[in-house]
Amino acid sequence: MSIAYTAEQILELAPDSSAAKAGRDLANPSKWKNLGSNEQSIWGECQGSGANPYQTRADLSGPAFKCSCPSRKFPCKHSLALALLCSASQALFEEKEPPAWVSEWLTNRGAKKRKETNEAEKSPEQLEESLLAKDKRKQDRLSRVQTGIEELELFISDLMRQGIGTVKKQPFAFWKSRAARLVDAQAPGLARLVSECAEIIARSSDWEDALIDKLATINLICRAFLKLENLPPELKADVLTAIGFNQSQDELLSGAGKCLDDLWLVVGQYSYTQDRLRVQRNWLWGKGGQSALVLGFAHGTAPFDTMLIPGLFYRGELVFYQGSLPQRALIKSKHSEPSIAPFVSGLPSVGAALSSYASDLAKTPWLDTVPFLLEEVIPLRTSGGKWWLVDKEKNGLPLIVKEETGWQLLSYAGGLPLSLFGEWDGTTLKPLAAMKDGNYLRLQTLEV
Amino acid sequence: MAIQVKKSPFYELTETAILGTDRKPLNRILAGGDLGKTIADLSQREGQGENQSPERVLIDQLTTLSIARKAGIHANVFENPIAVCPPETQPKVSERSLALLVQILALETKGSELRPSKMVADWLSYCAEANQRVPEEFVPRLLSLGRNISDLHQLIAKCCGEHFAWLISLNQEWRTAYKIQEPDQPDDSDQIQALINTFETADQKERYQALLTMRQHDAQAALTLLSSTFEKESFDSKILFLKALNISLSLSDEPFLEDVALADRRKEVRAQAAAQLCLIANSRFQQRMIARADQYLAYNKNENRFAITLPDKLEDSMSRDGIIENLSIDSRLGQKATWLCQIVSLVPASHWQKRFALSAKEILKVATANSEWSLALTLALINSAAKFGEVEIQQAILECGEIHLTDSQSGLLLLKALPHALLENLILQKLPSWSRPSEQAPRLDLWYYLEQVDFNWSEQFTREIMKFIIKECREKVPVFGHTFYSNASIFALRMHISAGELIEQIAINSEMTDVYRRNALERMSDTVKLRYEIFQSFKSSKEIITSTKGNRQ
Repeated sequence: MSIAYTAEQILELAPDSSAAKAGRDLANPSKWKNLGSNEQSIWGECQGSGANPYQTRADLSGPAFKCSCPSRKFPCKHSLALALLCSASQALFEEKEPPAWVSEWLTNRGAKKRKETNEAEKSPEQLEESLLAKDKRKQDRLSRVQTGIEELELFISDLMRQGIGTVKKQPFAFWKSRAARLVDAQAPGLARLVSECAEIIARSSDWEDALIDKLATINLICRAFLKLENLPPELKADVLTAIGFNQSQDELLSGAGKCLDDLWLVVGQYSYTQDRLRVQRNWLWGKGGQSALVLGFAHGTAPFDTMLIPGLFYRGELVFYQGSLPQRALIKSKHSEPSIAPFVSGLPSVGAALSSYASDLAKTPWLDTVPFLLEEVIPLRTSGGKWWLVDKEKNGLPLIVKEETGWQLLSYAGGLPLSLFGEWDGTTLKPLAAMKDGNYLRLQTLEV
Repeated sequence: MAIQVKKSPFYELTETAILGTDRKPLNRILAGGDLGKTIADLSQREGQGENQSPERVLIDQLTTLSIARKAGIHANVFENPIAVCPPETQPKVSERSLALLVQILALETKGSELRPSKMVADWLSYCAEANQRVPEEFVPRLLSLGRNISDLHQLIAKCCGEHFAWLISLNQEWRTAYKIQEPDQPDDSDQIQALINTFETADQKERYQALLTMRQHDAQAALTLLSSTFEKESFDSKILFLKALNISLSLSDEPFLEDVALADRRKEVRAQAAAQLCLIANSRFQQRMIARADQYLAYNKNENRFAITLPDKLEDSMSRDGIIENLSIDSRLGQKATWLCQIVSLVPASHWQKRFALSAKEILKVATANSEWSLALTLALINSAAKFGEVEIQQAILECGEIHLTDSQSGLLLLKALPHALLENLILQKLPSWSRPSEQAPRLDLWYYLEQVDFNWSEQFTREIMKFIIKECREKVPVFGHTFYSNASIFALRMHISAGELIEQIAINSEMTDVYRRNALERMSDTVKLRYEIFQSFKSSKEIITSTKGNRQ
């Protein structure tokens, strides 16, 4: 067992604060017996209210957890406590052969992974049949999307004729019903953009320019779709993704996507709820300078399908979704390497970041956000209460940040340069993490 | 026909988009400049001629404009750099201590009954003692937390290192909240002037604080300041501000209290002035009150009882001296009994000891003996004991088995006024009797006492109370009541840190069928453990630092 997480990193995995507290309370050696470890995992038995102790095991390379307790939370308090115990004292975990309930779990995990990889293997006839069916489904969908887009263009033309000044008085349903029609037309990506128009209009000020930008993005995607056949393959993939076509994860993993093996730092993470679905955005930054966005999804209190700890390194392969600006990725394999201090190899100045954004925009003009990892920048607050990030050339970018996070960032920097990671949306930077002297500080976003 | 346009393409297109092409027809020829030219070129390339609808052309041109704006965004230039925080000299707290702080701060957000500010105060005290500091990223959180808790200000200042002053200089709200007084500059005329300004302009609470501070620095100046505005104050402000005079109360305050405050038209103000005047030794008021009490209260040695003679109606001089005609003290007291109670309350018990040549115990015994005045006299003696702090009468009251301090407002006042060592002794003396089986035990006032008086328990007292709890848990004697249940965490916060050494001996298990009791004990146990863990974390980090220093030497 060579992997050691800090208590803070483990508590990041807690599904809520009560689980974190319960985990901390249980992280007491007196409450555990038969603690053990091997190269890959740790395990132990914790006496709960039932007759038999709960059998808790963790695969630290994931990390992944399994516990025999009936809790619906994941990871449960026993899993957290086991990892916290290990973090506090590895000496408590004697290296030995795992008991059957641990080795079976590890074997099943390996088998499941193999099964997932092998599922794509089909006979040539089955493959041909499924490809034909898939192609037909895609054509049907493209035709429905086309109808939806034609309706949407009419809607936008009407807006241009009547003027967007009139939409301020429109009810929420004005946009929601339009978005619903796009969902019916199987264009959920466009539907989301139309829904966002309603949120923009709800703002008290500066909504006109933002609405024009949003309508421009929608228009651009619509126009690009109507010329889909003439576009190069990467741009075509971009357009389809923007409209809401999913790229098959199986296909990507089996070779369709670009694969990159590197040492990845989880440089930013935040989550939000969208249509009752919790979405987690994980930004990874490779040692080679490549950034990647790994999305996690979960319903209700279920855990995210991807477990990544901010500030930690993972060695592994990422498979990128197709597109002219590969950004979103899937994790093909990963192993934690928590002992490495966060490195920095980002953009040297605000000017360089904006140039990089402009060239990204040239590749994908409907780009929503891009990751900025800026080196040697100083956060500051103006007398008007606005937050900025200023580089050594005195060029600044506006920050969109919670007041308390702004002060935390300011204090962390102490007026000196640090490295900052955030999402740039074309007008403001949302800071997600700051790094200095080999330390990593996760920043809370407005969504939390 | 082409129309000459002078506006920028951005303004032109945005205006049309807002008003709509119905009201503002689209100008197909845009202004010059690179952007206007690019948009025009693109329109031409896309075949957006006369056959395209103006709306279509407009949205396409807006799209080009939007991308151009995003791609061409310029950074703002900042000429004035931010001041740099001076380098820190104190070491950071250990990871373990920090994790505990994070845990306490998480309690704050959950609205826990644990009163995190008190836990934070604990944590900060140990941190300050160890001369360590919180990591800089936690400083703003602490500054916000302590903004309205003045007790934490000094501790936060000590534990936040250089970042404290640096951040405060950047935040007006914190600057206002954290007015750290410099104790070595009491005569600073600027500071005195600032206090005067605050007293003259701020709200009631801030004015009171300013008056208190001034009274601490210069009692006479504070009195002069109060005198200058007293007549114009509301009656509740008068009462509040008079309380500030309790600091360094002396004969020099007598003229103001006697001639101004005691002459006020509101009886509540007069009563407050009377309560303060009686505390000034040899004041005219005290002499008048003793003379009045002597006139109404006599001791009949033969019958071993007090003889009371009260006037038929409240005299004007009594009213002027703050005696209220109809005062609600206790529902069992009649009108005249309340007069007697008010008068005797304002006389030190030692006067009666001297006058009647009786000990405090004997006076109490005579007062509590059955008579129509016994309740009034008992309450008055309790009030007097609280007010004048005379240990002999306090001791006598505490030892008197017939008096339950928690039964009356006077008793509660005395409890709060008692020296903490005396209260602890009283409780420790009674602990064995409370441990008896319930039917023989006297009334369990323990938790009421402890609920009423907010003080830090001494080590010995804490250990005895812990042993009491451990014993009662083992022997299953039901000594825990609702007062304990609702205050368990608060008691845990008041305990000496040594409670942590005994806490594991409290056997909390699933056999405890009384859920309230179990929950209360668990809450108490959790709090004590957390406090002890904080203490241990700083203790061990100090030991590490000491041993490191030792090794270096």
